[in-house]
Amino acid sequence: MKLSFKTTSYYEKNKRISKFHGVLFMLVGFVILGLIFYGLFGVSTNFDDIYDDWNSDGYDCDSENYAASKMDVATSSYNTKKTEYENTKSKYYSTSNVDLQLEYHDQWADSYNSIIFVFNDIIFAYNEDPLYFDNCDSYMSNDIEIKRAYLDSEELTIDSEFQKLKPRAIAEGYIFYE
Amino acid sequence: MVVNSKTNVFELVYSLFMLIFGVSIILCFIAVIAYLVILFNFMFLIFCWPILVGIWMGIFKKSDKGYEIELKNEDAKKLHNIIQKVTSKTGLKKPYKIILSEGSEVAVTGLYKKKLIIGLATLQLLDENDLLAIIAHEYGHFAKKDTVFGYFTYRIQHFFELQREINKQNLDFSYSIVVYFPTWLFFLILSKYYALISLWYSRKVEFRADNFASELVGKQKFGNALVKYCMISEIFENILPQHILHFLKENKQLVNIYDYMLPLYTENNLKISFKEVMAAKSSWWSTHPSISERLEALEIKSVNISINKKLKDFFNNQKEYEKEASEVMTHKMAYWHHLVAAQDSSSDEYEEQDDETDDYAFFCTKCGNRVNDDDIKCKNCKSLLAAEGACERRDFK
Repeated sequence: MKLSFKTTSYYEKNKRISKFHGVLFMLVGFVILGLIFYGLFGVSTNFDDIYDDWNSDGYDCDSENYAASKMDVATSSYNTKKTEYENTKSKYYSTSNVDLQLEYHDQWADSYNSIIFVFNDIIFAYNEDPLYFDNCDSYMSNDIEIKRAYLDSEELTIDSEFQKLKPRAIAEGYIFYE
Repeated sequence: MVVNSKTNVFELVYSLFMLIFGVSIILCFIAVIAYLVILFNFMFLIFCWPILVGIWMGIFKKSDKGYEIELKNEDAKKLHNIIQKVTSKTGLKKPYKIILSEGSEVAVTGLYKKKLIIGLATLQLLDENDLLAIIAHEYGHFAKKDTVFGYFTYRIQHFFELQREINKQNLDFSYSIVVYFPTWLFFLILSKYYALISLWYSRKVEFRADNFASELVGKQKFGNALVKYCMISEIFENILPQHILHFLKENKQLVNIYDYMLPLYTENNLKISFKEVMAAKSSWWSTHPSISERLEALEIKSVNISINKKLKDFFNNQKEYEKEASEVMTHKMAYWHHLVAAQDSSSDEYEEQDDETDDYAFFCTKCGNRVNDDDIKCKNCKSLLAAEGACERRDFK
């Protein structure tokens, strides 16, 4: 059985095994390898640089800082609230009348809660850019800790005053629901 | 003939490039994973352990050879004589083992020790000269260490594809997607690229092996053998699986699939197969160039195909080996069919798709010749096809 076929010169035109393709594939391969090596070693070095920059002392304190302006607003309202708080506290201590003391103690506790809200604003402002405050306003973290200690002691005072007031109020006929 | 041991410098550089590229990528990937393990330790191990399993499997786990039918030396005297003719001409060593495959492929494999794989289907119609030419082509691969480079490129490609699959399977919307998605994308692109460059090399060495065989047995003889081999392979691979499945569905199996196929190798069927073989085009993703390209490269314009169905005497007990191979192929088909059925059992579209894509052909039941659906008489045995049962439709993809 003789089988013949037309020659198409398909092999000549489209052999897809030319040296040109081989060289092209090798070039692409070396580019891929180069990119991978750069990615592995180049970028990892850059990560170190970025971390060094981030952790450096050379923070630009002169530039305008959003966290610092937020901190100013929060500190200002803290001072206002603290004045209000001290006033309600002194009103409580200014009388020995149980009825009035109970009313002033409520106001004192409300005032304490509002000062806590403002204190939280200070914390948020600090966390916006802690490095700024560490590098440019080192007093701030110390100041926050002083405020925190003050608020903790005030909370204890409010509780202890209430524990003293409670038996006197019960003797006067007040009923407290636990 | 003495084998030309001079290596093409460009081919050597290219094959070394493939190895260096693949190994470098694998080492870089392992380094990145090791860094991530150190960085995230238990978090990485808990969420991304499949990647580590993939690395282990890709490097150490050998591919499953499956069931091998080894041709015993005492049975293979004639086949050894044919191989001896090639080895004496080339001065190359004999393969240490001959494996009979149930399919139609003829191939060489092995890193240090070479194995020759011969598909039993090809031995149905190939005569001694044909087989000599085909084996000479395979020795062309032996001579230039193609099996060694082939082994390593296969392992590298396997590693890339394994990582691609593992990462694809683990893609979900949990936090671990930050590892799986880029890794999947990276290996998807890389496996395509590596397939492209390794298949370029694979096609190139096929032309070289063709030239090697042509020098050994003559261009025309090699061309004849190559086309004949491909025609047999085309008929066998396309028709037989459908028939095995057909019998399996009826809880039957063929004792000897090669005897069953023999009536189908008619002149008419071989001519149709020839047209299909010659019409096939290669692409960037082909492991082999198309037959037309290979023949044109050898400047062959026509081929002579002789059909002799009474061969089957390349080694002793061939029938027994055929029965064993039939059992293996039926088992594989049953397993494959079971898998497909399991995958498609939930899909209602399967049957519709099957109907749409179903391709079939008509065969004369008397001689097995392929006929057109409007033929009245079989062109081969002249029997009337209009008579009931004289013509049967068989699935043919």
